[in-house]
Amino acid sequence: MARICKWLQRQLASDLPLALSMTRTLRRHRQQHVRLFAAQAVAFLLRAAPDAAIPAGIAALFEEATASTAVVIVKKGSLPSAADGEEHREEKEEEVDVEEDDKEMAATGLVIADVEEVRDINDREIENNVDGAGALLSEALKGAAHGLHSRAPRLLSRILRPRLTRSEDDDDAEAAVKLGRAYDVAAKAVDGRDGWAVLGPS
Amino acid sequence: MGCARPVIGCHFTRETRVQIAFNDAASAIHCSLVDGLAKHTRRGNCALMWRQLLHASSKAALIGAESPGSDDEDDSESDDNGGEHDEEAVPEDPAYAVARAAHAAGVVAGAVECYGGARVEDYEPIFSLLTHKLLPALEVSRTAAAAGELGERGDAAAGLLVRRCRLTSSKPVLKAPTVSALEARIR
Repeated sequence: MARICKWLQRQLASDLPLALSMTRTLRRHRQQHVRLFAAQAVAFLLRAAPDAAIPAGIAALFEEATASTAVVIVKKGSLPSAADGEEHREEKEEEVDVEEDDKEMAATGLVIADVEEVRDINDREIENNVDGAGALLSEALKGAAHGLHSRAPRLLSRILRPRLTRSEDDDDAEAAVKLGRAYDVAAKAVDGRDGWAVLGPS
Repeated sequence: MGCARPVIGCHFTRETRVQIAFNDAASAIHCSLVDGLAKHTRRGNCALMWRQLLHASSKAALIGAESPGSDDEDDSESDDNGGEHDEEAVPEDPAYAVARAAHAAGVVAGAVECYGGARVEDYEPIFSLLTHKLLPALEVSRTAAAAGELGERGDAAAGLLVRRCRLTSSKPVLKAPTVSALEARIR
C-alpha cells in the first residue's frame, strides 16, 4: 500500500477524497496495528497533496469518520464468470438497494459471490473510525527527530477548524435521519472513551 | 485521554444540534490527533502544535459579541502558516458556542494531560487562554443559563465547560492565583 501511494502519489493526492475512500477498509480496520500501518502509508498522501486539495481531503476524512453506516461484503455463493462478475460489480456500485439487486439476480438465474450491504455501525466501529482518523492526521503531521513535519502548519490550521458540510436541499425527513445519525455517531464517538467519561455531565 | 459525553438537547434548533453533534465527533478526533502528536514530539519541538491549538481554542471560546475574526494578530499568524483565511461565521445560538468552547477546552486539557505536562512548552499562554477566553466564556454561559437561554441541556454544556476549565488549570503545575480565581468564578 505504501508503494502504491508512493508511485501514484500525484494521481492520488490530486483527489484526496477518492484516495481516502479507496483506503477506507484498511484505515478503519478492527485491528489497531492495521489501522496504524494504513494511516502511516496514507499520511504520505496528505503531506504530498497540493494546497488546493487539502480542504476537500480533510472534510472528506471528517465526514467519513463521523459516518454512521458501513459497507460490508456479504458472501452469497459462488463467483460467476469473470465477464459477468465485472458487469455485476458495476451494477452493484450503481444500485443502492441491495435487496432489489438480489431479487433481480435470482430472477435471471445469476448467483453473485459477494454483495455489498450498508448497515449501521456499532460502538466499536465508531471508536475504530475516530481512532483511525486521528491516527492518520497525527501521522501526517509527524516529522523527523520527534518534531513536526514542515507541512504541519497548513494541515493543522485546517484540521483544528473543520467545517460541517450541509446540503440545503435536504427535506425534513432526510434532515431528521441525518440528525439522528449525527447524534448517534457523536454520542458513541465520545461516550466510550476512557478517562473523561466520569467527568461528563451526569 | 478522551472526551466527555456530548451535550445535545431538544432545546436547540435542528441546525445547532447537528453542529454540536459534528463538533462532538470532531472533538474526539482532535483528542486522538493531539494525543498522537504529543506522544511523538518532544518539548521544544511542538511549539507549532501548541500555537495552533491555543489559537483554535481561543477562537472557539469566543462567545457573545466578539467575532472570531477580530483576533488580528493570531489571524495574520494563521495566514502566514496555513495560507488560508478564516471564513467561519459566528454562530448565533449560544448553546452551540458554549458546547464548542467546552470541547476546545477539552482538547487543550488533553494536550496538557499527556505525560503529566511533559509536552507543555509554556504554561503562560494556557493560563492566558483560561483567564482571558475561557473564564469570560464561563461567565457568558452562566449568565445565559441563568436567563434560561440555554435550556436544561445548555446548562449541562456550561457544566462541561466548567469541568474542563478546571481540568486544564489543575494539571500539572498549579498556579494558585489562577486556580483560585477560576474556582471562585465557577462556584
